[in-house]
Amino acid sequence: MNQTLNQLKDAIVQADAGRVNQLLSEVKGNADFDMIFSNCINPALDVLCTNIKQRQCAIPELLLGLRQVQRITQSISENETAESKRKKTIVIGVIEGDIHDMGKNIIRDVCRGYGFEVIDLGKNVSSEAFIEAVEERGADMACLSTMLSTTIDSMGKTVKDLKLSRSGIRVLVGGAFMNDLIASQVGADGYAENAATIMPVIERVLQ
Amino acid sequence: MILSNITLEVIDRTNVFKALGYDASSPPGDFILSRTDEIISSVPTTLTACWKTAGIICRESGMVHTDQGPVKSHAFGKLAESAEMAVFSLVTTGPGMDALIQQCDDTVDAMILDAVGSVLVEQGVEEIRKNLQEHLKKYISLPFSPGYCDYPLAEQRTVFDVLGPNPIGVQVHPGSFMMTPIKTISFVCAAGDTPLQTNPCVLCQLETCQMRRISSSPS
Repeated sequence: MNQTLNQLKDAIVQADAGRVNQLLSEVKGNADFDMIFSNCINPALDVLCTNIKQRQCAIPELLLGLRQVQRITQSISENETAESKRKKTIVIGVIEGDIHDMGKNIIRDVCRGYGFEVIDLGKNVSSEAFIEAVEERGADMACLSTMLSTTIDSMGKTVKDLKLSRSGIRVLVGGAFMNDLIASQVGADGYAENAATIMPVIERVLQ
Repeated sequence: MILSNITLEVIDRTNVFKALGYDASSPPGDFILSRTDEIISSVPTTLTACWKTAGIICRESGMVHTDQGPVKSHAFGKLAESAEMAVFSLVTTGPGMDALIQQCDDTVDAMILDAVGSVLVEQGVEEIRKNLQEHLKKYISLPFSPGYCDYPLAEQRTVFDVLGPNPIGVQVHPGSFMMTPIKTISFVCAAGDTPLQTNPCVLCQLETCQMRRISSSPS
């Protein structure tokens, strides 16, 4: 079984849909979701993120791997309740005044792949909408995205409002012009440069 | 204001792969190669552009002042040292490309389309520069866009003051200065009777800028 799980991990990294189907049929019924997640999905995504950081591949390869993860998750979840196994809840959106959402969509898919419940608010999201979603869903984290330096005030206000509205909420920010210093200045708990580097930041901030 | 339509014959594949994060040491795999080619061959390659000239009336504190308003960038001031006029311009793929991207329910396809859209509009800017050169019979500098170099994003306001409200259907958000359609580039060029060769990237140390045209590291 360990060998099969390892092969399934490799098939995810290579985005080999045929191989994933074959190995999944061997694994189903013999391994539960937690085992598949811990031994295949999580390490496969870690490999892809490392490969991106080492410039051996790019974001599209990570997204292709995530496609396989989504298929596996849907297939396994048909037979068992994966909800109780979910990690924490993240609310994500593009800040008010901006509609560039490609980066946000990629981060959303990565977080879902790693097992987080992700509520996607879309783009041009007001502070009030973030707060409402965080309160309604009992979110543990809010991820705010923007490509434009001119929305920095809006971002700062949203971070402040979130912290006031929900005790213990963690806030991450990201975007083309962002860095750790700006994240700190707007009151965020962290900053993630891109999809390949976000998971260690999320895990650190949620500790 | 002059309007023009541009139809590109070829979309630069190399720049699309670069926009996706690939380079010579990290090339795309077979699936991404073929999917990108499929998407490139399916997108419309017509863009819309407009431009308006403005005479340079004085230079103050290293910045150029035109008869339509100032260009608040010292780097542009350096670039335009020997120029007689500035040209304010917009190029856009139009709302169709934005709609194609939004309609994608697959993030890989959306990312590829987004990269193709960016490369399309950048190629459109180069076509406009060539058109300007032919039309004005002047040397045309590299384009300067608000939000890059030392040209504040808020100066988008000046560009739209010059070109008028909703030029070629492009809208600008009054607070964030974000343009819609998203695949739109606004820029100003200097125009003169002598070559305007200065590359603004030579003056800038930001190596990680996605628009960097020259490395400051020795090769």
